[in-house]
Amino acid sequence: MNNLLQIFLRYGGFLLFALLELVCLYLIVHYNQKQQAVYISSMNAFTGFVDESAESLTTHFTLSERMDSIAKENAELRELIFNQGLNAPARMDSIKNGRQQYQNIHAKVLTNTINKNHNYLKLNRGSANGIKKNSAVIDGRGIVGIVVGVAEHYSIVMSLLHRQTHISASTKHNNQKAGTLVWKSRDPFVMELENIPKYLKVAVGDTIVTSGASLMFPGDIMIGTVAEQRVPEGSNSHEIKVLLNNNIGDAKYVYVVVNLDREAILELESSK
Amino acid sequence: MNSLIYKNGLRFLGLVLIQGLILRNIGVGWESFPYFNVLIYPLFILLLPMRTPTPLVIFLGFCIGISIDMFYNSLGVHAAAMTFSAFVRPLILKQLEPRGGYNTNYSPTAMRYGSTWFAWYAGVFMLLHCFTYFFVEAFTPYYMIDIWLKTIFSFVLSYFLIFLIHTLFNNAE
Repeated sequence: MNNLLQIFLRYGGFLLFALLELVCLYLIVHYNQKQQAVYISSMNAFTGFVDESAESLTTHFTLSERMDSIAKENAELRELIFNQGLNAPARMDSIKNGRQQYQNIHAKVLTNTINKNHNYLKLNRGSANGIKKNSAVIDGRGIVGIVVGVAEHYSIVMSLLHRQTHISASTKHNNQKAGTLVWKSRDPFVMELENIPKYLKVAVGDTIVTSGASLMFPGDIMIGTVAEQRVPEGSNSHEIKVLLNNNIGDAKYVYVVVNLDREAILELESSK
Repeated sequence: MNSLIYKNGLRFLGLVLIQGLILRNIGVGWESFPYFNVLIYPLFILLLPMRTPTPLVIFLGFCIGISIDMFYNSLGVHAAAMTFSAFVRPLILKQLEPRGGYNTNYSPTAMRYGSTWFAWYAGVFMLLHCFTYFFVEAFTPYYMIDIWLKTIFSFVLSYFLIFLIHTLFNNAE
């Protein structure tokens, strides 16, 4: 104990210096956007490599399971194509020649948390693969999040399970009036849909989809179903709990949806 | 003793207000030439009495840094740089120690140890502080040339102003 006290007396200045610098670093990274961006992208480049190596070790154990889910998704997509009468090769050409607004980039999830207030995912694709900030991230069964940081070969995604998530969503049968999807619970399967006016009919079991009103998510992507619905006394809007269709904590492969028109639209909006 | 605390407290307040309300606009408002950033608040740490314990110097450095950050809306950036500068102040003082040694009861001012001595002392301190500040502000060594350019331009201006103020208020403490 005496020794400890002596160490503190001798190196007190340095210890205090180190402590205060740590406090400063914390403040800088948390309250300054510019420095935060630098921090995220350099941490990305640094830890991404480690995460990827660890991931490649464990990836074999769940391989068959994942193949199954990919095959299933493939089957569902084919079904969709058949049902729309697009099964002839000639029709496929006409799809390809159309103007492309959204580009899909597949990516592997390296790290993922669901137990915090602010959850993030890290993907193994970055600006080198065409990913841009503010792109949407979806998986085969629902939506996952929004890209907030991009390094050359990695990117950081703000999960849906984040206190600052605001996503424009509506019921499938009435998508003129969009509400806001937020995450207020601690349950990784349940989100809240706010600002749906009460004159619209919403019933338990209704499908919730993206509204397409934002520049991030294309419209009509499945999000989940209504699990609970009520109109609080004196309120003008529904209080809706949405049961997510996908399991974000289990997302292994995702698609990054890059809106190629985003810049053009933003420029147009700022010029008015 | 009490008058010392009073004097330094007043200096703290005055420097924070001048820096935060007046000099801030020079750095931020001049978009065409963004290399200027006049920093005079380190004068507070420069002029603390010699016998101030190192931990207290460091803590005061942190305090004045945070106060400046409130005005600059960059929480932590000035504080990080100022904490570092306060930490190295004793090392600079040790390097520049005059032959007779210091009288620890005094502040390290031009009046006590001569203008040349103070010019060296303030010069080394400010150069280090400006560099640390712009380095922390950029937050990456990637823009090293820019960091040095900003450091040099700001250093010249800040140093000139600090020397001017110090000579103007030619004060033993």
